[in-house]
Amino acid sequence: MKPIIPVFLSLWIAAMAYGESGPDKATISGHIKDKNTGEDLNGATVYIRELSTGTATNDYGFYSISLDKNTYTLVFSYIGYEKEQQVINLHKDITLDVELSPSGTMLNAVEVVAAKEGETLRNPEMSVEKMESKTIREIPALFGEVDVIRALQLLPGVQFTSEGSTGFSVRGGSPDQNLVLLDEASVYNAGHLLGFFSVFNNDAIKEVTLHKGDIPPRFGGRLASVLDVRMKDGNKKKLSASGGIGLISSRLTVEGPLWKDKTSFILSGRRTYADLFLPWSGNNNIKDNKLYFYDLNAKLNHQINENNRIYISGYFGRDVFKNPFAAMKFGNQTATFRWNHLFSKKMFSNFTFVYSKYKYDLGTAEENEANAFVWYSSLEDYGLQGDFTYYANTANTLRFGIQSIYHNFDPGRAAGTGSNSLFTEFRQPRSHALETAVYVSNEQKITPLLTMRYGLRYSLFNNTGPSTVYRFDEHYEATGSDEYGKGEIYNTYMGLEPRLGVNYLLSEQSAVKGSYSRTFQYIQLAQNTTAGTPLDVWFPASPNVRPQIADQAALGYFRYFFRNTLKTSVEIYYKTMQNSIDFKDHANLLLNEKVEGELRFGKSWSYGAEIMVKLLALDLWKGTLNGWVSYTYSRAWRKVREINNGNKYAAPYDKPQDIAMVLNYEISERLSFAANWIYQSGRPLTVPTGRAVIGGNIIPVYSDRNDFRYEPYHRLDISLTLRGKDTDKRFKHDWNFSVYNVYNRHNTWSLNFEQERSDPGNPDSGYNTYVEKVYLFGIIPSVTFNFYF
Amino acid sequence: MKNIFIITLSAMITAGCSERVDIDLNEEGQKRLVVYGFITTDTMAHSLQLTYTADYFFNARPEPVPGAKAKITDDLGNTEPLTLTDPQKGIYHTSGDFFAVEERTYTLSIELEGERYTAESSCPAFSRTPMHIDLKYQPDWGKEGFYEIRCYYQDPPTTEFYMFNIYKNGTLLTDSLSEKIITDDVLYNGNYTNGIGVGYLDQSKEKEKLHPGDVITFQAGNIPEKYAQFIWEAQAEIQFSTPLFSGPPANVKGNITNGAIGYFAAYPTAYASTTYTP
Repeated sequence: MKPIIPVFLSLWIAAMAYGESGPDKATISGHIKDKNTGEDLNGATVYIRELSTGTATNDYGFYSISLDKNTYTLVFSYIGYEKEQQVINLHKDITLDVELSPSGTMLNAVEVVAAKEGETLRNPEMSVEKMESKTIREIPALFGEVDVIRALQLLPGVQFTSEGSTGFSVRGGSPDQNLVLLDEASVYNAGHLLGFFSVFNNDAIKEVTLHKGDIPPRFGGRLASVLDVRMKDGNKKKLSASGGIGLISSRLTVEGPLWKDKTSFILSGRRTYADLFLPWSGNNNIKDNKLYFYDLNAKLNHQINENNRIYISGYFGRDVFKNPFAAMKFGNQTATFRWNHLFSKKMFSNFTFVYSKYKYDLGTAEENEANAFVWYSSLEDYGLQGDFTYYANTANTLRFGIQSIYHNFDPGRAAGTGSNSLFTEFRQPRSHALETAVYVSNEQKITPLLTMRYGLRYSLFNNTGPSTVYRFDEHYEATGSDEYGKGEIYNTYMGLEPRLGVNYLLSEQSAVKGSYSRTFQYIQLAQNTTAGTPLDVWFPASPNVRPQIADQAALGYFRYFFRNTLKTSVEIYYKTMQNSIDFKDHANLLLNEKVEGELRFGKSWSYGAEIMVKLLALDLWKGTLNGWVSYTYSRAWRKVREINNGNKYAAPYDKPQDIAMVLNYEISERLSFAANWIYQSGRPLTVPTGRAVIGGNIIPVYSDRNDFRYEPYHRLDISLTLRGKDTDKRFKHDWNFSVYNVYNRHNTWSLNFEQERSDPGNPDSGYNTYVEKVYLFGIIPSVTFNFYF
Repeated sequence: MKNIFIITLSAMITAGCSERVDIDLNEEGQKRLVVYGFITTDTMAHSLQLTYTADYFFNARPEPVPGAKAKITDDLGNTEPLTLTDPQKGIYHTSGDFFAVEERTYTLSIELEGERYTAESSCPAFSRTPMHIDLKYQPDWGKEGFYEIRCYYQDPPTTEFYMFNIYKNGTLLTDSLSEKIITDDVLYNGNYTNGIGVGYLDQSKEKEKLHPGDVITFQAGNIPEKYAQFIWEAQAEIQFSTPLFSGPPANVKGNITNGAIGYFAAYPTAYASTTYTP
């Protein structure tokens, strides 16, 4: 690994030197925005016709390109927007902010793709999926609740963990191997209502990007993917509001300028109507029960001057449950402060401070009884980072930065609440960790056809006191513990993480791409169930837990057809992971101070092929059709010495076949139809092969772990959107009618191996065993009313 | 305690629909010996059951093992033979005056068809401070309310694993493994258990419904930790499973050698009773 560093350094120095602004060069830079809202457009392209080259805006809508002094034709474009062309006589550095108008119809959107797609094909980034809020809204949704993560689950290589869950697995990885960021703050539990809804309110979101393998060097800390969710900045032009009334929740978003073109805000909230699931619970005391969630997104941004902008954003969400026995609250909160600063027209920087917290408390419904108690758990992050982009020249773009996060783990404590409580406080040892990384990368156009991105991330992880660390013997029995004082660094891990991407343009319509990445993961979730619960607790690497390491290589072929309206891609990948964590049989992961003794370590690997055919637009009869079809074949395996007798077994998310079809048909200006169909192999499970009667019950006897599969899962959803006839009015509205699981398939959520007495009245009678399938959702129609003004 | 909460929570959300299905299991056909028995400090004929495993869908009584030679020895060298009393069920008994002694280690050995199976269990000590119970009606729980059996006892400073059994008029209500309440004392270690819930009587069930004059007897056993783990694991395998709360199924870890399944335990018991008056 070591020889790589000098190579990177020399490349970097060469690039820097090459990028010096000579007297013959000048820089064009600026922001690309939406003309109606002033919202920055991220990933919009700038194409220089004379040079057949270009660049794209970054995550803040900023672009910069340095060229020889001359006259150029610049084409600014973004999918779904009218392109904009400007002739520039470049003889000194200029700032050029461009506003693009959203195109009225889909067809206009397609005309601009030519320039853009050339750029996508040239981009040495692969295994990345980007979705905008609008695309997500068009997909038929469960209970009519539009959901970012459920939309992502329709992409190749991304699978839900269990029916209805917003937990997801990327390329066979565990859900905790996904880094979920909301405006750069980690979201540690992205689900509401036990995961049936994600915490992301689509109305407050600008776009989401999922890196499912080729993770850029500026990200780290997770093995499988990065889900980068960015909130809207707020309308800079006029005050506007939008909202919706659905069967489950109502939403309202208000956004607008506080100071025209300088300062804007967005405030977005939603709340569910209580008791959605309660009528099914069979409990007579529903009246006093509570079951709801709410969340709030807020963001403020201010442009101080041409070179400085600040963004403040926050999220707050809570779930509340209560029944006669127990009460529970859980939720995330995040806060992000960002400062964009231009050191020069070629040097963009962003400084971020993030705060994130996930916590829950669970207790008895009665608070004053002697046996009343409450159990808390929380995880808190404080992060600081500086990210820099140096637009050296048309051939080189350098990125570097430093990031540091301080984690504060309070995995669990329980205490009595009554004044005459019989409980003593129980506390799992707290722990603290500092996760730091520096990275540098360069994107280099080596020849007109060959582009490379190479980078290196160096990550450093420190466990810091105060904490108690248990020592374990080879049988995972605790033999003692060590105490560490406040601020004491008692354990350190570090890792070098090379990241490499290569892109070779075969023709104007096709390219091959390859990538390799190594990633380290220092914190993980103690989750032993497939769907997970809000009670699951994150825990850090420690003297007993080594960091997980993944190496992933991928190769892809990309080909566009029909004036680039049909995009096809094939990607194959192989991923191997060290220090993979699984849990011993019957692990006890909650309120267990020796939880590290429940862990077992091994290796895991996964491989697969992902094929996607994406139709951007096709005129069909009077309307326009778009959508995609994807097919994935993949396998994911684990091998842990103490599990399954040391033999390899299918990972919990190993689902070899996965097909998704997503279709959206704009029938007319007022009417659109959408459908999606998914099919996937059932997930693996362990089933009994025999039975033993012990103490009046049948105890199953199992053979191999995950040796059986649920039957295949498939489902069709449809929706119809009817827009009001008020296109010119200030107030607009639409109705969305959707049907989830149209053909009412009873997809397995779980299989239960049940037992009953063959003669219930006779205690001496034998037992009958049978299998009961539980399914969550039959056919579910729903309706949502949305408004905008 | 924690487990009770998780069960409550899962009951709240496992609201889906269910239907019986037929699935083809790759059944093993191989028979293994199943051993289950325990001895307590109560003076009585203690039982041991020996059966064979069967295919999972073998819907009949388990095949008994009547031909074994079984005995229990303690670390002082005393030997108690077990004699076959019910060949149809494979049940063996000690003599009627047998009882386990606290802090002695007992070894069960079984000889069957040339194979020898053994299991060892140390009988923990019991802190015999006064223990009493009362009943509290919880009208909000379930269809017709529950009676909560509340226990008052000074828990000793050592770590205990308790097993609770409930008798109504001398009949054991918690008569299967799935009905035992097993708890550690981590949350109240060394405290006075000032009315902690130790049993629940569902008034919508005839078996558990209370009538005036009914005598409720509470048995607390201070069981070895490994035996508590065994019952917890068995209960996890019997319980309703959901993707939310259930980990991967796995074999229940017993303490019988030579590939047999099951458990042999020795533990002390204590009792408290109350008579129901509405």
